[in-house]
Formats: sequence, C-alpha cells, structure tokens
Amino acid sequence: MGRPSSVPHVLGNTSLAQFDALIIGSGAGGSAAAYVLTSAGLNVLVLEAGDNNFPGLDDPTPGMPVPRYSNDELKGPIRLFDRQDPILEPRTFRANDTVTAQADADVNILNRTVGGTTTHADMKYPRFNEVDFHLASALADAGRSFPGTSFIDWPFDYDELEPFYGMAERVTGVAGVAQGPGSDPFASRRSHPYPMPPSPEMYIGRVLSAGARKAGHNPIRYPAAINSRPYPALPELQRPPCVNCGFCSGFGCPNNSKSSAAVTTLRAALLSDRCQLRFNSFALRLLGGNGHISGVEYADPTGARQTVTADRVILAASAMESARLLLLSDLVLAAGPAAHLGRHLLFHFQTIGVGIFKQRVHGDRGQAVTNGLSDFRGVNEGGTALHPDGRPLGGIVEFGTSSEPIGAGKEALQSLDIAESTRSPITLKDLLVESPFHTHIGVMIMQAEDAPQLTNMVDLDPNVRDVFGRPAARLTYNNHRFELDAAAYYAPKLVEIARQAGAQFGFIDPTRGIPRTRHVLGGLRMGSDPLASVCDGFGQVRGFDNLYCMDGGVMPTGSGYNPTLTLIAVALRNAANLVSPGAAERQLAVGPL
Amino acid sequence: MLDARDVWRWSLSRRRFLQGAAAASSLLVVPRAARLARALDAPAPVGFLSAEEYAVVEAITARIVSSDDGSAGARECGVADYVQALLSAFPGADVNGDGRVGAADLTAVARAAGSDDGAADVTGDGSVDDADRALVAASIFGSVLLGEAAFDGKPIFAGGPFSDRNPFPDSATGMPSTTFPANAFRIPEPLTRLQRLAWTVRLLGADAVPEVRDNPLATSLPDVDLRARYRQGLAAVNGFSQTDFGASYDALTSAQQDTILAKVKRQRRAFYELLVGHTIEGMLSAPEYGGNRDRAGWDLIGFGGDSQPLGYTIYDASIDDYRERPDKPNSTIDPDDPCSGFSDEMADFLRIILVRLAGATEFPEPFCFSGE
Repeated sequence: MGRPSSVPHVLGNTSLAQFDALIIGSGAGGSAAAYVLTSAGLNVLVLEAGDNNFPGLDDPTPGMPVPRYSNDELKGPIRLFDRQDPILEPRTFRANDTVTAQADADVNILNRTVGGTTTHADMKYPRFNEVDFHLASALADAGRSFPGTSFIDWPFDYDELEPFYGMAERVTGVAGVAQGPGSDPFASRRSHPYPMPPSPEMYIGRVLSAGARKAGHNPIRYPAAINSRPYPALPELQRPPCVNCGFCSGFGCPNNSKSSAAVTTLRAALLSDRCQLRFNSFALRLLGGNGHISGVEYADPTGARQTVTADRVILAASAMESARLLLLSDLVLAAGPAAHLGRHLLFHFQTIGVGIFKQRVHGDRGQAVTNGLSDFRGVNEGGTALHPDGRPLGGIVEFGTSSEPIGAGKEALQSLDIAESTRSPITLKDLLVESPFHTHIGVMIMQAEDAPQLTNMVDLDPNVRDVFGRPAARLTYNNHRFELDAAAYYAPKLVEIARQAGAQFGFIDPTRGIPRTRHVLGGLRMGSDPLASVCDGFGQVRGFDNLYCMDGGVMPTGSGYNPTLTLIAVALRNAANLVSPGAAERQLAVGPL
Repeated sequence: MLDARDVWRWSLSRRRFLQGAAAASSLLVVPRAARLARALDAPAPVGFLSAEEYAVVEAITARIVSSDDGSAGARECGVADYVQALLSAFPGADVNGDGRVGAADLTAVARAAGSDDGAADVTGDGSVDDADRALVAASIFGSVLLGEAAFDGKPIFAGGPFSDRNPFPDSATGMPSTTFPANAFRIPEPLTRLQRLAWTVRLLGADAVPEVRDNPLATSLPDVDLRARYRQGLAAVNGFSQTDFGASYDALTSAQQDTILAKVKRQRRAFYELLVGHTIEGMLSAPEYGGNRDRAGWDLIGFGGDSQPLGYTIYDASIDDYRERPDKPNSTIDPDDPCSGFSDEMADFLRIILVRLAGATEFPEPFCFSGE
C-alpha cells in the first residue's frame, strides 16, 4: 500500500488507480463526501487546487499532521499564503447587467489549500432553523411578499436533516451549549447535546453580551467547531484543546484544535486506504456528454494538463467555482440547469455595528467570536415559524473585535488623511499606539439572510482570464429590499447594545457593493421542481447520471446563520444517499468518527 | 506553594532570561532605546536596494513613524531591513533579463565569472563569483533547498507552526511548561509553481509572466511590480530633495524631510501608500521577516505577537477545564487596565471622524465592564 504517501503532491493511498468517485475540492463539502464514500467502501480521488499545509495528514501517528500554519498575519492575510490569489485567479464584479464588470482583488476570495476555507474560518457552526427549510411557504402563508425574489422550499425538511446535523457536529467536533444559560432559545430541536462544552469566552464577548442582556436580548455562547477538550477519543484522530492564541478567523490553526475539514473528515478518509488526494492539482473542466461525465481535466503541479476518469464526479469547489466549472465545460444542460445554473447566488448581508470602548478589549486573545445572539433572525422560539411579532428576517449576530494589527494599521491611512485635513495633531503613530479601531473596538456582525434572486449570479467574464487562460468568474449581485429593510430595522438595536455595553462611541459601519462575507451559497440549487432547480433533492445535477454537487452551491436559501455546519450535514446526507439510495439515514453508523 | 500567578511570571521571565543569555550582560544593563539604536550601526543588508536607496527608505519611513517622542519608530523597528528583504526575494537572479529565473541565468553568471558585470553581480559586492552562482542556484532550486528566501534567509512565507517565543502548555498542571519549540518561522516555506508566478508578478511585474496577460489586476494592484515602483519612487523622492534642498533625502533635516514627505504624498500618492503599508508591515510582522527588530513594534502597541503553542488559556486535565493567564486574561479585563480612555487629542479626533463625519453617537456615560 502506498500510505502514508511518499509521492510528491499526493496524499493517501497512492496505489489506487480506479475510482468510484472523483471529488473536486477538499473543503467542508468535499471532505464530508470523501468521508462517507470511503466509509462505505468506495475508492475516492480528491483533486485539490491548493497546496497541502498539513504535512503528515495521511500518517496515522498520533499528533500528526504538523501544520505549516502559524500565528503570522503577514503570511496569510497580507501575503496570501493559502488564499485564492487575484493575480492568478481574478474575478470581476458588477452590480447589474447594464454595466461592465470590473476586476477586483476581493470578490469573495476563499482558500486554496487542502481543507479549503475551513482551515481559516473561525468555525462558527450553528444550525439553520426548522422554518428555513420551508421559508417560501412560510412567507407566503404570512402574506409577506417580496417581488423579485426567488424563494423556494428546500426539497427536504429539518427533521430529515436533523440526524445529519448531529453527525456533522460529532464528526467535526462542535463545542456549544444545547440547554440552559448560554443556549440559543431560537435554535430548533436537537436529538443530541453538543459533543463538547463551549470554549472560554472572550472578554469582548462578555462585554457585548452584558449589553445585549440589558437591552432585552438573549445572548448565546456561539457554537464552534474548535476543540475545548481533547477530541475525538480515537488516538490517531485526536486533537488538542484550543489555547485561545488569538489568531483564529483568517488563520490556519497551528495545533489542529480547529476542526477543519482537513484534520477531521478528510484525515479519516485518507487513513481508510480508500482515498487518494492530489493537491496542487487544479480542475479545469469536466469531460463528457450525453448526460454522463467521464472525467476531469486538471493542471498538475507543473502546470501540465492531465485527465482522470471516475464512475462519478462530485463538484465541491465552492459555490462560485463549481458553477464556473460547469460553465467552462462543453456540456449540454437540461432545462432546469440551463435556466438556473450560477443563479440565485447568496452571500448573507452583513450589518456591522461598532462600539469604541475606553478599555482595551484584547482581541489578540481568544477565538475571534465566542458570543452572539439570534434574536434578530426573526423566528419564533424553537425556530419552527416566523416570529409572531412580524419582525424582519435578519440573522445571527457575532460579537467580536479586531485581532490583526497590520490590517488595522493599514486602515488607519484613511483616518490619517482626515486628521491632516482637519488639522488634528493625531499621527499615524498615535493611531497605531492608541489604536481606537483595533485594541478598543467591539464589533457586532449580523449575518442576515439575503433573498435569492434570479439576477444575482456567477457567469464567465468576456474580458478577463485566469492564469490557465480560462474566463474569470464574473459576479453580478445587488441587494434586495428584503435584506436592506431588515438591516435598517436592526441597525439601531446594534448601536443600542454598544451603549448598554459601556462603549464611548457607537455606529454602523457602512457596507460596500461587493459582499464582504465568505458565506457563498447557491448557484446550483436543489429543488423539487425540475424546471426551477439545477440539482435534484439529493444534489445530483439534473440531466446527468453521475454528476453531483456537494458544496454550498446546492442551498436554495441561505438562512441567517453561518452556513458551514448545514453545508456539511447536507453533504453527509447526499453522499449517504449516493451510497444507498433511499436509505440515507441508515448510513449514519459508518466511519471512525 | 506558589500562587498560579507567580508560576506564570516565573516561567515567562525565565524564558526572557534564557533568550538573552548570549548577550546577557549588555541586555541587562543597557537601556532599551540604546540597545535598539546600537543595532543601527550594523551595515545595511545587501540586496535589491542600493546602499543609497536603502538609506532613503530608512529615512523616509522614519518620518512616517518617527521616534521623536522617544519610543521606537520605523527606523528602530528595522523597517528598511524588512523592505530590503521583501524586494530581494528571488535575489536578482534574473541575470539575463528574460523575465524568468532558470538555468540560463546560471549559465550567464558562469560566463561572467571574474568580471564586474553588474547584472551578474547578484550579491552586489563588486565581483562575479561563486557567491553569485550560489544565490541564483538557491533561487532556482529554492523550493527544495532553501525555500524562497531573500539574501539573508528572510522568507516570503515564514514557516510554521511555532516560533521559539513561547513554551508548550503543560496540560498536567495547567501551567506553562519549560519546553520551547524550535523556531520554525526561520525556515521559509517553499513556493508552489503558482505562488512563484504570483510573486514574480509582485516583484518583477506582469511583463515577466505571460500567463497573467489577460488579468488587469496583475498590473493595477498596488502591490505588483514592487522593485520598479521602489526604484522609480525613490528616484522621485531624491529628485524632490535635490531640487528643493540640494541634497539627497537622507541628508536632509527632519523638518526638510517632512516637507518632502508631504510632497510625495501629494504628487506620488501610490508610492506614499506603498511606503506607509510597508512601514506598518515592517513594524508589526514577525521578526523573521526582517523588521520588528527585537519585537520593538509589538511592544510599542502592546501586541502579544505570536502566542502559540502556549496561547492564553491552558487546559488542565486534572480539573477537565481551562485556566487563564492572570497577567493576560482571556475573559476578563486586563488587571492593569486603568479604564482611563483615550488621550484628549485622540478623543477629539474620534469626535471628528466618528461623530461629525460618520454619524456615530457619543454616549454620555461610558464604562468598563468588569463582571456581572
């Protein structure tokens, strides 16, 4: 057997040559799919565009892998060590289709690395609400109509996904509070407690929670896939508790306490002997026709073009890239995909409330976000229906601060111009040392649901090309009254929380046109109506007998919660169905995690 | 029995002592500012920037963040060393000027051996010799041998997971251990083919990489073509200095330098922003990148820097729960925080920028939450 691999740019079983499934992307969805399929005895090839920053990921020795990640702001956020680099992979943006899209350095750039964006996310893993799975019906029943939106119900309900939520929490290792103080009164029913208690609270989380409580809200301990205990029990998969080093959101974890896809589901798959992972291997297009995908063309680590075949192909490259791969491939699409591919793209709409505090809030310690509230999601207690008082559908609020002094320092440049133009004596050094927008800042980010719209989409830019000569992804996106009205409704409440928390100044940080969140969803939405969806109810692309999507692209609506746990639960469910059609729930017992 | 706080103090102060052991006598008696100043006597690191250019970078960044108030500024933090390391990555190895670093460049160095051919004199020491060939070879084969290092081992991407600045936690006691990791930050991470293409664009410009010809960002982003931008920008700075004051920038008085800096800001805005950005990077990035000398930048702003593997909370297996560091707590206010707020000048400035310009509210009775 060829594991651990000694072949450059390959992990796992290097002797595998025939594959039951080929998965494009090793992030949250692709790794969850690899875990289920290998557990069921299938041989799987995973292609990952990025590098492997987890040397020893396929080595069963306890304590492995030893990450190449570190507490280093320059390396990641500034120099893009593990990011999609806009010099290599540009994207363009336009607010609507009457204007020419412009290239921009940050049109939702995600990670390029084994483990995908779960390596640098701060791993906030709440569930969606029960009502989210039939929100279109709930809105219609309440007489709340939003012309121009394209809400559809999900093809399955919360009860069907609930066991997979539990499985996702267990296999990734989520720390949280299910009942009592700190639990979320708006969360929907759950059949199991969280596998770990919550991690220590950050000071800023406690400050803002106290303010929220005084303002009449229900602050929560934020569920997070970061170890608060040694977890799981299995020695070769066990990872240590988090040390709250402070470099969390935007950073790979140096000690593997962050439950990224790499060190959880993907590692389990790689240790099964049924998985081969080729990294620095960039999928370029799908091959095939007549409703069947025969394989994939990819650029290998030297840049040479290679093709590989498999019985099934699973798209898990993230919502924009999975849609783009289909658009780049010379394929005839069925009616539903032809009309909806790349469309109904979702991002969440952030409203950012800020408090500037007299005291230092030391965001250089802790997990970026440990507290928040769900009162602004707009659902009833238990999340089974819309809130009876008719409040808008907003989203969960994250309580955080700034942890990156270089980034904050660069933001000071604009302040410096204002200081000079107003003859203030404040210098750049004053801004760095007193750092009102870094050491003294409390930030409340509402991750509000953005309504699906046919016109919010990713397609191919006619002018800009990537390093492989392929048309760049072009994002067309404009916000709807649905989320703008909700933002206007909840914004003053965020400022009031800052006041109640003791802040000296409070305000709303204005948002720009390009979505700032990394929560990219939709574009290959699932649905029951073949003419209104790209994928069927199990993520199979309509019109193809062996093509699936198992990333965030399949989500018809985005709810108002961080989406990754739901993404994983859906991937687990749909992968289980791929193994045993119609008997998905019976596959829950598989796997070592 | 020791109080937890004492154990923390002991462990961390012992570490400081061990780190400084090699130069213990001077470290213990020489005041910090003098120590930092002394490091300035060291010769400027060789690299892309000429000695004259290096002097201008050092002088102008020292006006962007000065040490006029007696605390460390850009000069004391070694910002010029940081910039030199960044610009010298792929150390001048494109000897034949074809936009690529490869075997042809090694051949060119070999042909020029013994001469004073400027292009082949990669080290800039006045002669073409084995040292030049070694640097070109390191650049070509760097991903195997050295990572992608600048002349003196400064990385584009520092290694991981840990530096040697913090000990491992001890889960048996809930205290810091006395074991420190080796400093992996010193070992540059190798670049992939794609990363090398991107960094070639950053350092040498888009013309050097035909693969990015249909990407407008490869020419429009502020952080591409850095060597040319510095060369031209510094020439402009010195041009202003010569025209207005008859001397190169680094030879001017502080007041004259401030006048020229304001002119650069008005007339060379992009270069000014590049300098400010690199000043901040050079002050606040890990010391392994060449700046933040002796952690002077982190100390200046009260930033803890990289904290792994210790972090700020330790899991104690005996109680199956966490312990926090008393001196730097995770969940409570800092014990030494006076809750005194901002300086009068900063508070006034915040009223301008937040209340007047951004519509913020100033609340009448701010307070510092210390518990429930």
